[in-house]
Amino acid sequence: MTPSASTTTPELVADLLARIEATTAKVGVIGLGYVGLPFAVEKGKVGFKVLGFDRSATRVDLVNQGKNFIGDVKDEELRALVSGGYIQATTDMDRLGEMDVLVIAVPTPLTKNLNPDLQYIEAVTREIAKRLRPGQLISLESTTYPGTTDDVMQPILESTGLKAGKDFFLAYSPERVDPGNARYTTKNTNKVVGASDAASRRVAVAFTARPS
Amino acid sequence: MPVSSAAVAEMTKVFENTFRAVNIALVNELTLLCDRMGINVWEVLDAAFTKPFGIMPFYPGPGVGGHCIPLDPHYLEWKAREFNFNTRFIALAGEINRRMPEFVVEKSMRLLSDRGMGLRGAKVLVLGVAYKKDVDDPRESPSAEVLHLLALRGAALTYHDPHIAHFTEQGHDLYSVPLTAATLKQADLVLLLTDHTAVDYDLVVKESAQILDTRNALKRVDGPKANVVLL
Repeated sequence: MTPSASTTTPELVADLLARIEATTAKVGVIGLGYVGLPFAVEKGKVGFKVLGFDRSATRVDLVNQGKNFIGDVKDEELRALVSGGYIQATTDMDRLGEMDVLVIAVPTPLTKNLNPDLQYIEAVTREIAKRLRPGQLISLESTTYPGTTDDVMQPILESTGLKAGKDFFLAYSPERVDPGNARYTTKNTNKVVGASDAASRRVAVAFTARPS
Repeated sequence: MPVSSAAVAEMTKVFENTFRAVNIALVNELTLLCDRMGINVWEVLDAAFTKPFGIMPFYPGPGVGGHCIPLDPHYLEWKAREFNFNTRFIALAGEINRRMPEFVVEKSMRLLSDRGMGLRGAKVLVLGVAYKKDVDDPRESPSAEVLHLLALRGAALTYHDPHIAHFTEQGHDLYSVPLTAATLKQADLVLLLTDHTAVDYDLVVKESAQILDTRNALKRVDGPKANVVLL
């Protein structure tokens, strides 16, 4: 099925759930740092085709050569997933539109006056909005204050005319990465998933549960 | 674990990191008090954490680092202001944790002073510039602030970190020196800031004139340790 603006929400949900179940959903991971790269590896290992997005051409080249640069990722796992075609990386934001699921793992720093600096989340959300299409799931991983997903991201995404929970799905599922922790990793740490409408919650929970 | 809204999930995450920041601040404050009272805080904590319920292990150190613990609680603090609410635990935890590098420098000065020396011109070898053990991540590392304060007071600085060869946080431009008997011997003070596993601590204790151990890392070394002072 190719979703269009006339496709109903239940059809969009059923279609995405089927792709998640079959691991044929195309997964985009935006930000290939200490959260994004381990996440990409875990999804690649269960059979998803993952495309990593990063502004850094250096990081993207390293990933495409199968070369690891994150302490919590095993070199040989990344190498095998890249050579097997399960993980690729790009700097080309136009490819965001190809993805069924988009996971955002970008920095959330503070300004010098200790105020939240959401510039990376906002910039990525605008890039997604430019290519947003019906049926996509957008899931934020970065730590932030309550309200970011619904009050900051949702209006940017809905400026396209598409509606969250109806045409596309929007969720927050925070990373719990503890760098250097050998016992609890991205693979074996439980995840919380929140979404403010039932359809988004359903697909986001299914996606999070997929490497169970 | 599904929750009913994005805001619940967001609050959950920021609470998790705040919990950690506040509890680290609590043991850091206890450390400041124990220092004044002449009580070994590490012995207190090891004893306290033998209780099987109602307590959870957290340890003091030269400050907090990394991308999460020093930053995330301020996201909630900022949002709370919109609701005319002051998150006092967060503010206090930030204040105490950010004070720890100053305390480390003050205690370093005391140790040098006891031996008739000052920080100006003293050779200080810092062990560990990563924000925590066994990672190669220098972001928000309290070592950067400690090095900054030591430099302000005129100390001659070198560092060793098995995972970070070149340290450039906060405008520093330092290269890791090899950890040898010679580099340890020449230091007036060895300041242990990160308890990496891949460090020969027997050598550190054997060859150093004086060590300030901010992580209780030298607990693992057997034998006499008259040259070791804990945070």
